[in-house]
Amino acid sequence: MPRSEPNPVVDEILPRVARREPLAMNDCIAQFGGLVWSIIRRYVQPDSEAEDVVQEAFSELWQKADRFDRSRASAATFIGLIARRRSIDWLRRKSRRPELHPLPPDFDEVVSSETAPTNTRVDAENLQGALSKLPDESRELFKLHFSGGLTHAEIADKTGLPLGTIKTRLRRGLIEMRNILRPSQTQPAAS
Amino acid sequence: MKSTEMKQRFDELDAARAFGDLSPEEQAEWTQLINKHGFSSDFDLDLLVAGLDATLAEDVVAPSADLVKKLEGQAAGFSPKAAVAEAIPFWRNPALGWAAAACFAVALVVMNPRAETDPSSAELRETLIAGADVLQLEFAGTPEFENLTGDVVWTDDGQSGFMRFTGLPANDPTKTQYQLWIVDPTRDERPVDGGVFNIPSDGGEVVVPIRAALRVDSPVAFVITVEQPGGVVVSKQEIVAAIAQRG
Repeated sequence: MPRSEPNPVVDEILPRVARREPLAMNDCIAQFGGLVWSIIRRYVQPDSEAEDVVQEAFSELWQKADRFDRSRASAATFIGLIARRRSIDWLRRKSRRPELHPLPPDFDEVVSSETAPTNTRVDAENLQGALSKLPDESRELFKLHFSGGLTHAEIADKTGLPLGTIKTRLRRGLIEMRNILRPSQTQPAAS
Repeated sequence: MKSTEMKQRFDELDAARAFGDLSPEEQAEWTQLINKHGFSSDFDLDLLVAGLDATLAEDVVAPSADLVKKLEGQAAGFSPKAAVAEAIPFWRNPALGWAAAACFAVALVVMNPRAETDPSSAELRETLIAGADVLQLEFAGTPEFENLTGDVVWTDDGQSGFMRFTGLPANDPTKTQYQLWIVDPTRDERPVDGGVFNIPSDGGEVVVPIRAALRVDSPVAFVITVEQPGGVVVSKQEIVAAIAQRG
């Protein structure tokens, strides 16, 4: 099982928040404010609404910090999960992206490491390693989507590929990455 | 469709769910595969997408100084732990001015440990009421909580307030906690989290400070629900204990 060492200083911020240490939230805001703001702004506009969602995200972080398990994910991944979750929740409320599926009914529970199905640590090193094993054309799509912030439709415009092809490659690429990070479990071939 | 093909199809749909791009038809198919064939969504896919979001993003920009200030202000308002309702000491009388009380209130939140000289919530409530533009509403218990009486006071300018209860049953914090929700339709269709709190078993009147997670400018109702320990981000409002609302 691929593993990488947690960043002890950064990953300690969430446990400090969970212990309600003074100024831990300020450190959390300083360390991850840019990440949360950037993720949420990709989905939520205008900025005034994005600011509200950022506040909701940090409020949820305060409540859920004790669920962070550094053996399962980096702090950035955990916080990214909450930021993305709050964004999708906003999109659902505003019905601006009706194609978005609601989060699983048991999402609150599955955030907890206690019910997580594997012990794969999702962090930058493991993700980059898994990404490097994808076919070039899939890896490029991931970079356009996650690094460039392009929607699937915008990727189709940029690459000239059919929208369906882009969706299929990204979906299968994600499954492939999961299988790479979870080699002990049998999964269907991804592509 | 063979079971392996069905599993492969479900995985693709579940990956689409994690990306957030399921079409309505795909969503129906995903739901059917879960309901009829026992598949379940894979949280690892959600973690992967979140990790990619966090790892590959190149457009990370710092939030504005104003937003950071808001976040830090919000964090200062978070309860260091679940707010514990306090029995009102009958011998105490409000003696502090509003400004001093406000300073104490901030110190209480930020510093966590209470000093003997700190004003009680009951005293802070009295000083709050003495100020201008204070909203005061009576709580009405739902049938299961019909013996409850109480009220809530709130000031938009100060973004602070207190609840006062008699007859709200004591809770076991390891099993459930009470949570306040503030309804402000001018800011959102969803109520704002007002903080979780416990009711001790010694009975009598208790006063609970409100810890609004977000700014509230025009509250029209305050709702008390019973939730899991630690509270929830979005309440299903399965157990509503009391409501205080504008007439």
